[in-house]
Amino acid sequence: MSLHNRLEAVFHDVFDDETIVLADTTTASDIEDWDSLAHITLMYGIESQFGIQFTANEFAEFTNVGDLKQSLIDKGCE
Amino acid sequence: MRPGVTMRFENSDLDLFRDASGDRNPLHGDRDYARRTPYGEPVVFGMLGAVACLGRSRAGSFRRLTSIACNFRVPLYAGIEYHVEVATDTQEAYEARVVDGHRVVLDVKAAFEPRTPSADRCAPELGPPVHRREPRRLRMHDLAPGHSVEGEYAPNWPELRALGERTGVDQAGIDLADLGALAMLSYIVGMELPGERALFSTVQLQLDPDRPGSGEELRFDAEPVTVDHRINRVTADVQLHAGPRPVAVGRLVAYVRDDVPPVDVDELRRRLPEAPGLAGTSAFVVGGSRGLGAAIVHALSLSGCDSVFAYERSHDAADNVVRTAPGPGSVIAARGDAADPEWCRGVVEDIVDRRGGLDFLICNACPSFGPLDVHPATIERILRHVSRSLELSAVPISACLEALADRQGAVTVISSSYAAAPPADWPHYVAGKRAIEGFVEVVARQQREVAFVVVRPPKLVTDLTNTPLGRAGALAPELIAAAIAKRLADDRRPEGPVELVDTFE
Repeated sequence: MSLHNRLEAVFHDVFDDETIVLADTTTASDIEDWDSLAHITLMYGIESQFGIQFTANEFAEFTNVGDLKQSLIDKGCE
Repeated sequence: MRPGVTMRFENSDLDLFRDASGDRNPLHGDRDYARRTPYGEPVVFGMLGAVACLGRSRAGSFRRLTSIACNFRVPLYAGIEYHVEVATDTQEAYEARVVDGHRVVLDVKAAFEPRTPSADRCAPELGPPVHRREPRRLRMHDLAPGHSVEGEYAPNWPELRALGERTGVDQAGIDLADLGALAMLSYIVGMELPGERALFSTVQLQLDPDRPGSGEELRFDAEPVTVDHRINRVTADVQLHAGPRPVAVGRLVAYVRDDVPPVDVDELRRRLPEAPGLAGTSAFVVGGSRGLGAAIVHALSLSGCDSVFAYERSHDAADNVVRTAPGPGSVIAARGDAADPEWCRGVVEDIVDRRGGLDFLICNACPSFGPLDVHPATIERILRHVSRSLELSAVPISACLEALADRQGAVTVISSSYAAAPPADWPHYVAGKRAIEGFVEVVARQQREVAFVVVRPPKLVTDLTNTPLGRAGALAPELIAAAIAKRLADDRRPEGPVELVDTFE
């Protein structure tokens, strides 16, 4: 499964919504109920899915899905 | 969804919950304490919100709670009308969320099993409350997996009964014993683990269907299972006991608020030149008791500038700024409302009398705020914030212009990097900062003898940003304070009507 699809699967699980379609420009404003609590759950889910760890700053700094994907690529995820 | 269900809390509701539960966490009742947090005012107990939400159930009372799950997403405040969206309300299940405009504040999911009608299981003569009087003050380094906190607990049963009646939860199948278990959860987080610094985030609880009624001695055991130092998050398993038997097990998540460090005078000294570049000058700082304002006052003091700073309510913090002022410039605290023209005029006259004139005005005060969506239910609060934000700069500017013009002085207003890159959650904060910037652009064209500087700092470590995610990537306010003092010491006049400072070394 591609990185994009794996990431999308995490979003589906966290938001309990299989209809979510991610784009690089997707932000929290585009997904209902993506608040700070959901964001933390999302970040934990991504760490688990990809076997990586975010730094403290990274928990809050991604402004869109594209930034998030780039960070995963930089951490060696494919 | 069932439409038209609302709820609103008054301070008396918080008092009742506090008395009933024993959760005396100051975040929920001490105005001075709450002012030093990002929330700015006392926050409604999350569990009170959940209980009140449960009280909106219309499915009847002949049932027993078997499980409950709550997510406390955004703080609740007294005096605001929230809407309750009920998704499921049957004998077996209740699912609802509390919303503020579009934003979900908390959600509750409860499961029940039927029970035969009987008299309230609570005997009227019960023991006195058993709980701590003061919260523990556990920090992250005090928390580790396996290091549990345990103790005895008893709510104030008569007050708890009153709480059940006031919230309507007594008619929704939550009997006094179960309400006691929910109150205990709030007590555990707010008083024991982690205690005073807690932000209650989520809880899931399973209740033993064969548990006894109230009146038994209650005990709790809370054991951290994961402690994440990156975002100050602790997950703990809880067990609630009545007498010798466990009656409920669950898991809770809480965040632990760090202290905001005091002004680092050594850091200011490192960033400022040795020779006081502002000797013989005077300044009026609006909003100088905490955070960036306090750092600015100390930077001015190190630079030789005598300053008066305005504060409204943070008396202890203001005292501390005066007491720890490094000198050689003097520091005086002036308590009052910077949006009151008469009061501002009095402060300026006093500065002119004492110092012969006024060289600098620095406008730093900003009302506290949380995330808001633009919605008919929130628009009044948004506009109130914008208005208050603007008046905290506009009124002092109007009061100081003449004195500043006499000295060819300068006005510095603290805006924000978010004025250029607005986050979606803060329409009020961004509109307030842009209003100040727009006001200054016009005043600068009316008053040519005064220099105008707009500073747009990035996110800083202050009370306003002191949330689990808020502090991530935040810079020390000393960086900005030193930059402002150095800019003021540089006699260079702005090239245009207004100078924008948005990059910092």
